[in-house]
Amino acid sequence: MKKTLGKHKMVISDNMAFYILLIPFISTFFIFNILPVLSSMVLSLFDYDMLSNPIFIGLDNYSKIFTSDQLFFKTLGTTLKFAVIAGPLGYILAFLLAWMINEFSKTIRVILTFIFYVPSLVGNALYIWQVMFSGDSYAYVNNLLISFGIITEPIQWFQNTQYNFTIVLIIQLWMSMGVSFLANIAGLQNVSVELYEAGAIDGVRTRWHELWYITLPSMKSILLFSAVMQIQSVFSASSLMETLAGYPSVGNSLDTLVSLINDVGTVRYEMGYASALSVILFLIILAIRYIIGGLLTLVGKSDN
Amino acid sequence: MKKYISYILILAIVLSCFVNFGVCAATQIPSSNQNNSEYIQNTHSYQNYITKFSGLNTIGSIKKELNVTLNKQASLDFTINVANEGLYTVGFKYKPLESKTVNLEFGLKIDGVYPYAEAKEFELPRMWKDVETVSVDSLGNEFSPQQIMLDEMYYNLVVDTTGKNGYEYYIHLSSGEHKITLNAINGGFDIEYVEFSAKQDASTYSEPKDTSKFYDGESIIIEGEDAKFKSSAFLSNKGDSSTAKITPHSTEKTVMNYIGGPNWKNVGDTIIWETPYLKEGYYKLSFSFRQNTVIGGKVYRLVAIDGKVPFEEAEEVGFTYKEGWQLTDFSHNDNDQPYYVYFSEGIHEISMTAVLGDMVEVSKKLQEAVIMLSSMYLDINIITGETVDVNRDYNLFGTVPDMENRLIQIKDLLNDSADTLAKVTGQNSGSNYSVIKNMVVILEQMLKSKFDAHKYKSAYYSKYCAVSSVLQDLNNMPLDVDKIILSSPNKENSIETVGFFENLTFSFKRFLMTFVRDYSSLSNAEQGESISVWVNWGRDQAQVLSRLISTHFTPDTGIAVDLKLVNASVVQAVLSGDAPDCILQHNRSEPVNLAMRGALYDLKQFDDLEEVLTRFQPNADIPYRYKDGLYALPDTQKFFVMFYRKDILESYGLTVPKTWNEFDSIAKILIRNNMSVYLPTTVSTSTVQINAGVGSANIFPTLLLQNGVKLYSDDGKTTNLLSTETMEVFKLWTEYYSKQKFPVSLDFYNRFRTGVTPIGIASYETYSTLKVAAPEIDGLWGLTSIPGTVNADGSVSKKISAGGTACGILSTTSNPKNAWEFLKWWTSDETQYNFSVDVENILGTTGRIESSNIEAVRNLSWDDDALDGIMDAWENVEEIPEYPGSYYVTRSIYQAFWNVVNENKSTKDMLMKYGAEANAEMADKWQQYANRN
Repeated sequence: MKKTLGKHKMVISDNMAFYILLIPFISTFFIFNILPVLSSMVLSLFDYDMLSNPIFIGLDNYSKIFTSDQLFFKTLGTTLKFAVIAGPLGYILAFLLAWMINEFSKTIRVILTFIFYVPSLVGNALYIWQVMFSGDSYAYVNNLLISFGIITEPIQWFQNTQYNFTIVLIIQLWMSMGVSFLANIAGLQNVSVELYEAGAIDGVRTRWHELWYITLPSMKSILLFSAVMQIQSVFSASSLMETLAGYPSVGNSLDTLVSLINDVGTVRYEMGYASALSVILFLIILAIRYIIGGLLTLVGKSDN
Repeated sequence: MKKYISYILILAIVLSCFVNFGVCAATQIPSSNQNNSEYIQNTHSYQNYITKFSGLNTIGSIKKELNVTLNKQASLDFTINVANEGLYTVGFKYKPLESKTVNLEFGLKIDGVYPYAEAKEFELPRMWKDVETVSVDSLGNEFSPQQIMLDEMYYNLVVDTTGKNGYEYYIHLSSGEHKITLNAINGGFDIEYVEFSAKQDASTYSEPKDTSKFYDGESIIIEGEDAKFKSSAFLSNKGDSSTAKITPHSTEKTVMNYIGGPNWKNVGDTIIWETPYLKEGYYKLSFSFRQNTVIGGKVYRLVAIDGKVPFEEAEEVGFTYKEGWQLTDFSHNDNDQPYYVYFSEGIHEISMTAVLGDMVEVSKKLQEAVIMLSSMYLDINIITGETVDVNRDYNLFGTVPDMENRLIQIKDLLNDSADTLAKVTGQNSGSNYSVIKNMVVILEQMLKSKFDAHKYKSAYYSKYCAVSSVLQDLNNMPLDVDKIILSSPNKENSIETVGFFENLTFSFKRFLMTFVRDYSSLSNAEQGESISVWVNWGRDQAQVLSRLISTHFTPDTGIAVDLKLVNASVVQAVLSGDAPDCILQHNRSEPVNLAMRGALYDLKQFDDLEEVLTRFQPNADIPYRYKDGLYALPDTQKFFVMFYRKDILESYGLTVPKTWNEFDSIAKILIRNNMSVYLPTTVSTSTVQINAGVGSANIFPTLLLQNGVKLYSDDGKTTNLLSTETMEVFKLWTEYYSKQKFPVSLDFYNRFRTGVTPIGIASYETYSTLKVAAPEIDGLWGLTSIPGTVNADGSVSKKISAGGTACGILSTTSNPKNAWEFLKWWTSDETQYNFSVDVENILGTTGRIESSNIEAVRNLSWDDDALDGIMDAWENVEEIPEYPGSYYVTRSIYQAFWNVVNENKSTKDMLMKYGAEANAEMADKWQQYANRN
């Protein structure tokens, strides 16, 4: 016991320079990331409207969330449904595209990468979807469908619970070729060519074998990184939905947990309650991250 | 058996033919075309009039001293004696009675009749000049000076502000005695005299023979921003600090160094400069200018000396396109030989007036085409309805009157105008050119495949909208003038130009300055008494306010104001402990939200509050009351009015509806003729919009008010959404959409302009958009108060709910008295008026503020009819109070509405469900804040 402690001490004093160099990052990270998380955990125990003094109410906020808040379950459902569909789909799509593009020669690869990355680069590009799916009978999609005789009356795409979820899903997939896509491309290029040669000698027969036993295992860290980015992007897709369908959307069909938190905090002035909601969201994302981490350890494992 | 089947088949075919005929016959209701075009093209057009009398040559002039006041809406008769028959211009020496930004409008009759249609609405400008006080803010930056109306008699000719009929208007007078009648339509004016001068054509330029009279001295520079008078309040000085090419320039401060800009675009807009004392002689005239809007084309100005055009070429001086500033001599189009202009000894006035020049022909033909396109579209629409069934055979060429000939005619007009345009601009690839050509392609397709013509309807529509905006573009003639130079004809260059390196150094210095200048602070509050004000606006608006503060508020009260442009909420400000004293243009629901949490200062503590409240509509302050206090003053207020197309209603023999019953029956007739009506709904909603107040999102609250149902209980603790009366009104409202199929989402401005939606309810700010961007329907539409509900006792309730923003004082303020002074100043008639005019000056008419100050709105530039409509509606505005948690009501109504209209759910269930949610939220908030404060 003593020995290990002493060893630790030695390590710190040995690497003092590194710790000092880390201070700027650690301190800003603490102030702008850790501290807000901690403070929202504390605030979740208070009734706080940002203008008057906070009043301690214990776990009342949490009991209200789980007992009487219908919107919480509704938005949680939408968020999870969206995350479960858009998350893996976007993730797989981002990887597959990266994998395919990686096969091209350099110039074509650069051009294609640019084309796929652009939607997430220009954040406001989603407005073209808003124009396309506008409810006016002269708007693009409505007009096209009307002129083909498929519909006779314009459809209010974002106000109609039958369609709005699917449309937003498609738009999210279109936009999800972001950081995780770029990271995948970078990861693919880092896989050493010797590995493939060795694999070929050792009996890799198909491209699928190659992908499963060589490519994926050697870019595991990139996969985890892009998975985390993906989770983050689907959980924060609320701004997309708010822009397209408004908040609240019809029948709360497109309201996510994040937009609920925003609304409770800034419009209804219940910062304590909003903090409690975000603590729950935080725990959910944390849990999902560990599930994905677990799943990724399976990559490259053969059945036997 | 086979025989029978074929009999049945034949019978079926014959029957279906009849059915088809029946449909066609039923839809062949009056063509809007004839009435429509009659409305626009009066047989007594000026064009016909002027050609009829063009042969006459006249001399002399008739001057009639009047010295009378012609009040608005009044008329005046006088007689004149004409010695020589001929064409005469009409000139007035006059002074408008009140300072407004709109032109004077009046009609002129000769012997009791209007000589031509245009004489019903002659216009005379009001003249403006810069205010004399220094226009420099506390940081030393110049800003464009406020414009004040010239308070003296001045002389102007009656000119054509559409530019289509040449410059001046002429009237024909036969010899003998005539009775002239003037009736003022828009605004009144004092008249000193009227002068009718004989038509005289300016001679063409001839090279001066006597070279000894050439001016031979230093170049004389007249800075554009030193203009003496201008014909519009919107022609003020501007600053361009991006280049050293124009004078004056500065790397550190903002300086005003040119005049014009996008506001100097309308035909007839004139700017007048004064020369210094000149020696007699011939001068070379040069302009330092920028024309970067009419790509490939030219912008035209009529240049006059002392009100007279020196020679014919000066009637249309063209300014070519270039991205940056240019220096050009006034010279011959082909050989660049400069013209020498004669000045007698003394001080002279040089004026530049926007004219259409070579664009007249294009514009005239295109306008005609657009009018025909519009009536054709309406006729097609009557047959096909708004949504075309592609598989149906409409037989458009058989049902629309004279379709083929009309299409060919339109096609020819469009081709003509495109060709002329190509000739004038010297290129046939410009975007305007291709837009016109695209329309031609559609028309050709329709003519080629006659039975499929209906398939092109939506393409027709979009191209037609594009062509009308091209028409508007062509009539815009914006120009920036840096300086006018009078120089010696003997010199090659009028002034020295700035070299490339000099300009580069300037740019670099300016770049360095950006590290020093603080752009977020708009004014420097000096030591002493000061308050801080936050605004979350565009930079232009904030700069206007900053200017007004430094020229009016601070000098008058001695209170300095630290105006900051921020993008943060007040809550953040309070949290950070750095809260301002005042906030302006705050969202509708915020004042009560903040007040219940003790963040706002109660304005009831000021003695003169009652007096201040008289500036607004009597109940404009209702939404800002909480318990016994008043926590904000309204600073904008907007409400619904009804817009209608006079021509279309008239062609169906309909009158403007006064009640909802009348509105319903008109709607039925219009819908039967495949047109639509519009009631406002908020479709794509952000939280901001939905919290902007319950009254402005749709007409449900208005209908509640008119039916005498209150939205909230009297104590404000709960809503009345669950009551049976509310339920009935809600049903009435949703049935407009679910049963009568009013469109829930449409682009009202475009539909109204094409005439497909000839009647609709929208916020009154739509007036500005229509006025500016839809010139082709000018005079064909009107606005009035929205329809009312007939009560049991027969009276009509025309109440309207409203929306808007407010300004208040934060309770953390250390100096409430000064903050109150500021609020009083900000909401005063003068400030609100000046602010709105100055913002319009920068952003154009569409930048108009919907001020809550009645006098300020009244003085802005409205047509008198429109103003009456707005004022009438405003009187009927009734605000709905705000209570803790009431922001939830807007959402509940929105949710219930869409669930009923889109998902066909029961009105009762939905209102119950969402009404209960709103009630719960309100109860929650009341309970939470019951014991605070």
